[in-house]
Amino acid sequence: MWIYERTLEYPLRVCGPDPRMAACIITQYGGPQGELGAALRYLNQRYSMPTSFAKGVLTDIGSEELGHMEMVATLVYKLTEGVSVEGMKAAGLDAQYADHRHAMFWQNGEGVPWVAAYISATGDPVADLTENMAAEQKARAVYENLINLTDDYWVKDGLKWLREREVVHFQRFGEALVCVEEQLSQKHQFSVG
Amino acid sequence: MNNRDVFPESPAVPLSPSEEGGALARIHDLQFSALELQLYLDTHPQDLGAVDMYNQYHCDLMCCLREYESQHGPLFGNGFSASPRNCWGWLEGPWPWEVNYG
Repeated sequence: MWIYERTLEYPLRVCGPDPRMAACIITQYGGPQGELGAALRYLNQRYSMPTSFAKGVLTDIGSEELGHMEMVATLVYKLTEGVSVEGMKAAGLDAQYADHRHAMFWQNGEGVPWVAAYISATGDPVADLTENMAAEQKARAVYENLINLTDDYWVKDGLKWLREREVVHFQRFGEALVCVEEQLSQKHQFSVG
Repeated sequence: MNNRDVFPESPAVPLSPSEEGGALARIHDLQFSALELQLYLDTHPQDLGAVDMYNQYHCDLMCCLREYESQHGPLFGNGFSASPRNCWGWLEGPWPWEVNYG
């Protein structure tokens, strides 16, 4: 069960329209390192985790990623709000406009749609938690790439905030991995003894 | 611990100078702190000092939420917030992606 809260996790604003930047940021909506994939990856892995703290970390970070997906969509929304067809064409977004007009769509920066193959779920808790740590680092790197691509102070502000969350999540997944490895090791010793 | 502490380079001016924006900023800060503690406690559940901090943030947050919602309408769906009696408050005001934090 999830309860909707009618506010963003962190307030966002933009200096002005920038459809080209929006078309880059959309990759964090539905690209391989994006927030949709992150939320679904973590929430889905809960069912094969052996310990309560791993289930807790995945539940809480997965839920937060849903909020980040809304934040990324908000940046795209604000950067394209009121942009005319001519503005979209001038930004090289003719094809984007043809398929979606101003609608949100889960795709990477080149328009490749989101696929479930972005999700890893091996059923092995050590492999999955290690995958999640890598996913957080990859998402951090993409946010840094996006920060480099814009001069908009407020867009940078929002992207920096999202980048920082990837660092925190990486830390928590690392701690969860250590706990799971310790527990699996104890179980092994118990069964041998 | 709040957003401004994590990102000291943010401008000193509040994102939204209105009274509603100020109250919402306080809620954002409290929720952020509570969530950070929640994630921390998931991997450090024996830290009872952090549990106390979490509970304090919970109390402060509930207080701020009640105050905010009584003046500006519901923030939560599914029965967790009341609607004003004279309208269906859920539909009042801009949605999160439409809010102009100017």
